[in-house]
Amino acid sequence: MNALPATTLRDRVARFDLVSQPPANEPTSDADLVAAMARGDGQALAELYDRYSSLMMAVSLKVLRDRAMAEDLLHDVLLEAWRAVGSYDRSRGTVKTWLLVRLRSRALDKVRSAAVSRWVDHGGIDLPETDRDRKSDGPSGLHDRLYLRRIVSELPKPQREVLELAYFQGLSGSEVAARLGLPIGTVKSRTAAGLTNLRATLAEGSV
Amino acid sequence: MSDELRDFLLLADALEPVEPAEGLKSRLLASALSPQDRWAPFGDRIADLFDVAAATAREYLSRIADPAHWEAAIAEGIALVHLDGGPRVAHADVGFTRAAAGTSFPVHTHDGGETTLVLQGRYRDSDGSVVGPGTLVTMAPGSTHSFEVLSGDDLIFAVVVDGVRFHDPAIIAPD
Repeated sequence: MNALPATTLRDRVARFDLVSQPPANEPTSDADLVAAMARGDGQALAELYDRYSSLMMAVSLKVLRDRAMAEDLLHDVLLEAWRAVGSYDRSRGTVKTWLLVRLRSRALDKVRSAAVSRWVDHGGIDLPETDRDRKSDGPSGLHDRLYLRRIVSELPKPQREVLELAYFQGLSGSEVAARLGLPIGTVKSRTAAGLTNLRATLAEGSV
Repeated sequence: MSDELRDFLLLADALEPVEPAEGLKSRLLASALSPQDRWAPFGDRIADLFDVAAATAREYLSRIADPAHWEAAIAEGIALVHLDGGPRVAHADVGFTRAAAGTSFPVHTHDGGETTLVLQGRYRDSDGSVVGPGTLVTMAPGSTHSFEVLSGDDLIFAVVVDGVRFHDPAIIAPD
């Protein structure tokens, strides 16, 4: 047998990802799934699909309003996530945010050739510091989502309408105004009121 | 996180979930595991290891699935793809190595250094360590080892090697 160097192979492994896998009895986190995808693990992509496809499909359908196009986009965005998995940086946000931001960007690209303009003047309206984005990273956020769905559905229709046009159709303030036949000032005030109501309800419910 | 993004995420969470068509998951996995994209998740790391552009790395990775790029070398069950690396690795041999499951990779000494990135399969090194996908291993100049490919998938790894000498005189190191 040949003489081996004094160090073990483990000493020479610059990135030994295998040892960072969670114990078998712990649920795999989204970040662990992405790390597994980075090792070429297709099963991890399948698991990520199971966790987020229905949410991503809802967003895709909301923007594109066509089921076939929405499914094609969902396929393309998750395939892009597979190809570009190395671009995920957990210090910059959750996996769920990473996926939804990519989805929204691609969806809005499809419905608008111009860049989406930022138009809502939040004017000092801040969300309470609930860190809810981190909290909802994974299947445990079901209760939060049901609660959110209820409070958004309870917003006055004029407020809900302008929010959906802005956030899911990527329309500018003047475009929303033109679509609804309203003055721009009315659109801005309805948007601000909708966001204020949403945030106030969230703060009361501590979501 | 911007207010706009935070608001978007809140509104997205408030949407009623919509189940995609039953076949979409299978279609996605078929795309991801197609020859073109099977090893795409390693693109950034291959670009760094081989010192090439990301597009070049992706093209190199797509060659893995094409038998025309592989040439038999070293021993039964082992094949190589030779590639051109960037300026940082111009002194080294760059490429992919495939070794069939169960293959014994013969004892060799690295006269220069070597860095490998495992893309598929697992092996047990002669020091007992088991190495699998995603693992980057560096071998110091002068180090000696062999390894056994474990059962399951064939082993495929990317390699940048700067001179290797096999102890069996019948084996000639690839150019």
